[in-house]
Amino acid sequence: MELLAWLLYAYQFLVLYYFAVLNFLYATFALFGLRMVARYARELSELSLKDLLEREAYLPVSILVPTYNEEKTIAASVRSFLALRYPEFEVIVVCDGPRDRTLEVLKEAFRLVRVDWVFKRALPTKPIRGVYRSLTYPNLLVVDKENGGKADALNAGLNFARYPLFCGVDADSLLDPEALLRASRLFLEDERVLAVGGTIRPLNGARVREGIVEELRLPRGFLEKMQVIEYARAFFMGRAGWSAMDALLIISGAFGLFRRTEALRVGGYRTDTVGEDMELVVRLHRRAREEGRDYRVLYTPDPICYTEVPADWATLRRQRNRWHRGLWEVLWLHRAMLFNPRYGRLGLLAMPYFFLFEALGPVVEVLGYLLLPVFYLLGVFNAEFALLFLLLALGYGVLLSQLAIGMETLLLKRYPRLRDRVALLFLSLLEVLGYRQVLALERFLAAFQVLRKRGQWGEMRRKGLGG
Amino acid sequence: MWRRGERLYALLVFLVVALEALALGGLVWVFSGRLLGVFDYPTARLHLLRALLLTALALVVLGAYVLVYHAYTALKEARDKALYGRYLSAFTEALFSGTEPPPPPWPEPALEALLHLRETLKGEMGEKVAQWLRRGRPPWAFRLKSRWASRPERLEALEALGLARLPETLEAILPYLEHRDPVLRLAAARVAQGEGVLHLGEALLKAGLPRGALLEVFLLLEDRAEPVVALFLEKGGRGEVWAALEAIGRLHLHGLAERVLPFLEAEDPEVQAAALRALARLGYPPVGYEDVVLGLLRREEEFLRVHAARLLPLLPQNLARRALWEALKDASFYVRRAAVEALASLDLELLRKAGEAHPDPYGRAMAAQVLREVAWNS
Repeated sequence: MELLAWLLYAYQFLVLYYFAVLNFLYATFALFGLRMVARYARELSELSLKDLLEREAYLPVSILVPTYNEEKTIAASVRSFLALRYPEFEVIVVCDGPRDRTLEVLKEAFRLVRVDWVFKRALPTKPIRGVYRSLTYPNLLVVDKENGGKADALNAGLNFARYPLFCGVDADSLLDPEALLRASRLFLEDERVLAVGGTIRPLNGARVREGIVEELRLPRGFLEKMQVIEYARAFFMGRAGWSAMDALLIISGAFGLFRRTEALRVGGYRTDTVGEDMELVVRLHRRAREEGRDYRVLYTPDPICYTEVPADWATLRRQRNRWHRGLWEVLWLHRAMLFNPRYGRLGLLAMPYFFLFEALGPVVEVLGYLLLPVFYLLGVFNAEFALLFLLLALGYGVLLSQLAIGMETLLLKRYPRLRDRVALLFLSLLEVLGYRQVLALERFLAAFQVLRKRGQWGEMRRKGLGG
Repeated sequence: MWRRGERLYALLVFLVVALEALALGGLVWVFSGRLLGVFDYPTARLHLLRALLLTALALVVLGAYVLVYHAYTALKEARDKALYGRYLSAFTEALFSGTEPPPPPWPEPALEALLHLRETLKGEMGEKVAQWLRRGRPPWAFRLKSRWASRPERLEALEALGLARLPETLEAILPYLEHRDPVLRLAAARVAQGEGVLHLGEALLKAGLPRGALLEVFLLLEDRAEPVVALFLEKGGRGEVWAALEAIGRLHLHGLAERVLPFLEAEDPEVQAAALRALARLGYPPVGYEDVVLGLLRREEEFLRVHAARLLPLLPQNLARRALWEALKDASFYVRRAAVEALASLDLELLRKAGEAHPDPYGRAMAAQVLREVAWNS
């Protein structure tokens, strides 16, 4: 019994050190992120963007849109992609054997006709059932194939892509009209850049017309509002921080720009993981490090992609479960990089961080909650101290959210209405009271479902991109 | 986008993060001491309480700042917008009626209105706006020379000078092409224009910018780029020559076309490819270099074969037809595609024949595909 009490006592200290290191890291990310967002806001000259657009300085881009059952959102999304401000691009929609009317909606909306198409099968995929072109948009190609998952659809899109850059986007997303211009400029200016990730913002609540976001407002639903805060924190602190440290491991599948030849060289997307977006980025890093190449993988705060976030608990939990399983899968596939100095700060800092704090974080957090009654029963529970510590932990969480809200509203001037800003500040307090714990529990469960649910995506319920 | 209030926010964030880090460090220290029996429980409790209070205070301050800042900027933006509108109409009226504008000194929104007019108007009116800008004694060139200006201020000044297009300000911009900060170097290169383009060329050669950034600068120079590009062809290294060749093609600098030809035999395949692209964009036949182009079709580098195939229609027609027919047998999908597209621009009849009877089945399929596309597009 004494040994158990001592072990529990030691566990408390372990949690404290864990908490301290994690918050030190968050503080570092906050500083790096702030620096990056603030600098970026000034460094991009609108004048040059416009002039260069006229001079066709940019590399042409293939936009790959994998779709499954997206009948509600697909037409608006594709319209937003076709309305992008960019000198030369093609949109390749890959229907991954949908069970709903996705293909029919596309056929009707864009006057598609079936064509014979010669393409290079650089990556193996499930069989292609048909290729369609639009009578109204010459740069739109729709590929219908047997179901093989998102990664398989992206690989099929890569086989059809013609241009040196490709941009993987989600079919439930809308792109800012200048997103490609800003992101692709980084490839033009620095040849070492292999991939660029942009910022993803929740679309729910925004006013959308003709596939273009006219005004960003807070959504009505509680869950959707919470995700506005979460996304701000994840992008302006996490990704901006990692990118500033040259160790960015995640580029969201909802919007990422890659050099096509580089992606093909490493074999495209892996089809046996649900974390295919992170996996590709880690593989690009890994290959480049192993070859001793000078390269860069960047995050850029401004290129914006708007995505519909889950509005109900079931969908949200399924999504987070999938994300967390994806993380574990990627960590397992690239375990050789963990704590390996050969991979520099990726092996010694980024991968260990994702393992210890992102993958194991929910386990530590949920175990902490579960052990409280055990401490109480063993008589080692100090209610006053536990409450103070819990408040401090939650306070740090709120603080990080508020920093991210500050970056979003002050530096990037989004959600300009006063009531939205007040609501965001207030909601950051509520986020740590229940919402965060439910998601931690889901991620905790996901950690034990990695093998059992391998490759399972879970269905996403959509409202549509109407705003 | 970066404003004074935001700088204060950055400072605030830095302070908050630093204080919280200190508090965390203190907690780790005290809790470790508690584990080893050095500190008693009240000490640990006190430290925890302090960290908690500090966090609460930080939350209040940050939240209040966001709201106060919102109220302040809303007022300021409304005031600036009104001023901007007023000055824009006053300047426009003065321009079109030939009267004098309101006398300087002008507030910043007025200078912004002038910059907007300068960007929009060309010719005589543009020059008049430039004169007014000079009379307004804008602070930008001074900021660039100042030792104390911050990086955002310098960037703002560079951008404003880029919009103002005042030749005499080139002197203030040029030193930035050798600035130790690469962001400022790039910003200066983007906006450096004016009469002394050769000075700019010399400075750019020393700037050590990546080749993509150099290309951007050439494209922004537009019709003034030719002497700088010529200088780069003469004195530049690999990256500089690549950027110059790309610019020749994209800006259609026909006067430099002949100087592109020797680069078809450059050692660096990237430079050779850039030369091929430039000639293709200019539509300039590689007279005297036909064998070199045909030789490039046999090179190992796929991208070179692709660009060589695209240039073939500019060779003597019979030679081009034979070479393209052969290129349809290339193992690379992309070379076949380029060859068929080239054939489509040269000889549709031969393309039809290739679609029906080319001995290589992949070449045949590609020809048939492009034939369908040609029909589709027409």
